[in-house]
Amino acid sequence: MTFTSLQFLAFFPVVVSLYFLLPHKWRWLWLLGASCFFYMAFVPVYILILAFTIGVDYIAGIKIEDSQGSARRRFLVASIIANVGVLAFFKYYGFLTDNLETIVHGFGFPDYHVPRLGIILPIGLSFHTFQSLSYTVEVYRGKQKAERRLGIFALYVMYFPQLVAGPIERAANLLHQFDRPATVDYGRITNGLKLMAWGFFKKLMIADRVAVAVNHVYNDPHRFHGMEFILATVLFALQIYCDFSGYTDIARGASRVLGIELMLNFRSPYFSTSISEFWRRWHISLSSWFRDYVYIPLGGNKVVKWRWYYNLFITFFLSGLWHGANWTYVMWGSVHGFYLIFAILTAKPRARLGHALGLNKVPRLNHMLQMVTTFVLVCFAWIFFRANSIGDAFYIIRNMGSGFGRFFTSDARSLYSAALGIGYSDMLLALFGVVVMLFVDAMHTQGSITVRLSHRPVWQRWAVYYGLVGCVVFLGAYYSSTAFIYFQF
Amino acid sequence: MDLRKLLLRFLLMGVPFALVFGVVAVVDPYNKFRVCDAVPDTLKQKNLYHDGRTMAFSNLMWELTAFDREPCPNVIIGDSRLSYFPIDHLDEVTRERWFNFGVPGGNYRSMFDTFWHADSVCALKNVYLQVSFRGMNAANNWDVFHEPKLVSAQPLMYLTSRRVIEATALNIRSLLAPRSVHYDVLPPDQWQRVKAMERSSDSSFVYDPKVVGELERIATRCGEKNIHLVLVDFPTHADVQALHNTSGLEHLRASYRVEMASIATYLDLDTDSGFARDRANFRDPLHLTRNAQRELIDVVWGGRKLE
Repeated sequence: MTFTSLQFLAFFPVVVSLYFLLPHKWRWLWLLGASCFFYMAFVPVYILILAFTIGVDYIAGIKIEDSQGSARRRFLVASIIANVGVLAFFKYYGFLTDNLETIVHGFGFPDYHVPRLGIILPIGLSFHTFQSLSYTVEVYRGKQKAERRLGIFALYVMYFPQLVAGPIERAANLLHQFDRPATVDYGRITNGLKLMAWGFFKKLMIADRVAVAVNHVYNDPHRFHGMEFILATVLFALQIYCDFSGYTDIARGASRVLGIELMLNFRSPYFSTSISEFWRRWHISLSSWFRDYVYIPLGGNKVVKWRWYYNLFITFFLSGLWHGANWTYVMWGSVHGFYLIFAILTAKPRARLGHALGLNKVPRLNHMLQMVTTFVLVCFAWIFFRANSIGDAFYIIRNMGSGFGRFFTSDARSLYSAALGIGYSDMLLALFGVVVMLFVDAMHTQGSITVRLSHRPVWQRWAVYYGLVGCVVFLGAYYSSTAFIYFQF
Repeated sequence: MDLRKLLLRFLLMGVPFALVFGVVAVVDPYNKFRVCDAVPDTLKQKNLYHDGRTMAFSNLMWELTAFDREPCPNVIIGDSRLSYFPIDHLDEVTRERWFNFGVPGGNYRSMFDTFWHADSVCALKNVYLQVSFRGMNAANNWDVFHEPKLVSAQPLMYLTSRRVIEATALNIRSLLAPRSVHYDVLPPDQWQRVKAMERSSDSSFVYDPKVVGELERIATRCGEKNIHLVLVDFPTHADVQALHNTSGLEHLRASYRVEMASIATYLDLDTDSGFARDRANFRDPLHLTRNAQRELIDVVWGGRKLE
């Protein structure tokens, strides 16, 4: 069941209504049942994987807390092996065997084949595995008390709004909220619904609409040229942001309706002025996970320089690998790692260049230039993320500068439509959606837009609400509605 | 207190949307629900051709809802060259009921999708697919089928689709204030425009190999199900034929003809003939007049020879 499906349209009101009708002591059970139902709507049998992860980490958490000395470490290692093992088997088995075969074939054994298992990747596996893993690490570090109620721990891992694509919550933020009785609070519930509506707007109005154009070009790149590649890449940057942040907004909004606050996952990332800032604003729950459980344990920046660069690179390499079992994702992560190292290495010369060009005297222009540069770099990396293969990615990069002439003719309008595979009206609607989204994101950098809106006259507020819901209901690209991109991770 | 306020606000939010849904259901521009005859079918059909921008969607919507309601074992599938096709004449000539899946703005992809849809709805007997070399251009084969297919199949999508709402508004306007509605008409220089379009299409032609593969798949299916499949290349005017004969794609065109003939029964009417040279037979170099279409029916289905 996805948030944009008809089933969810029926599921959510039923869950919320019964949640508030039930006494507080039974609500966790209702939410757990609803979460199981939500997850089982995809591939029912895969709930067993979740049950395994929950069982292992539940026991590991208690054992770690109850043990002393090296035994604590042994239980932590067991939890890590179990979680990473599940991830490796279901997500990376095919990838590893493919690469192994390629290597062995390269050594002159073309008949060597590893049996394929035909495993379908369980939805959201990387998310709930990481969430569960963070719990045992926190218990080991003594920052989190072990949860001794199995049902509540299971709910922590399975809580349906964030089960399949995050945010990757920490136990310290989420677990205690299940004990807090929520009331039917008009302000909180409408606030949650508004956030959901905004998420639906980004997903259905923008992401699913531009997805048609992106797929059209990226699924068959050899038919296209430079202009199409540039447009499709920029559109993909918008698609993935609207898709993922849209999902997160729906998740956070739905959870807020239930009285449970989930962490912020995006803070207007395309307004970043550097790659490091981008990573503080993009998929925050994952970036902070890698920071806390990979980068800092490796030594972070409190080591010699080469080791610092290594730590940065390996963190982003692993972040790429986390996204998917494909070299395209690894390359994407590595490119970001390279950007960060390059930024550190060139910080002084860049500052000197900026000074020589007088950019420090025009801070706004400087800010704008940094923002545009960051966006271009991020877009470049997205090519690897979206391309179906490394070969396709390099083909696109190589041909990005060709075939521009025909797009500056009188027939350009129909050419754009044909090149991107979407109609003119859809292009205009997508553009409208993007302008609204950028406006709202820009507003967000200066404070909460919901608070600002609440100070406007009632007719203005309702006009905005009607407009937002109207766009979702009547202008959503339901015809191309696709699963959220991050479900596959 | 909060709960009452909440329910009241929900109601307030829902009322305008419920009104829109109600109006769409009553006007019903594509006869999905048929709850009342507020707008006559003739007007709805006329409005399918109101605007070049929406013709593909509108025509497919109309055809899919009509076909799903009353499936027909004999279908012709094609693009705008089957618009206004005198299907009643075809019924007379063959003494069987036929269904016209001609879609303005249609392409091979939409034709294939239409075939598979028709095949899934009923046991087909005769399928005439309108093929053309110009359609083999990969740049033409984008998706126009998926959206109307989804919207026509799901009532909630039908009620919320902006295109259906647009069509509802158009139907209301054309019913209440017919003079205020302007329909797209062929511009005076349409003949030259089409020629220029053909020239441009030829100059950026990228042969789509997937088309042949998909035609073969359809032919296999027809073979399995004993469906009579015919590929028909409709005539284009001699002006366009002359353009094509000097486009540098002649070799590709010749191999296309061989490929078509190897897949199924292939009727190639896009050849030099008195019919193709007679400008009176054409609305523009690609589209036949209704009379010429009748004549063509006599040729393809009636066994008459093309002169």
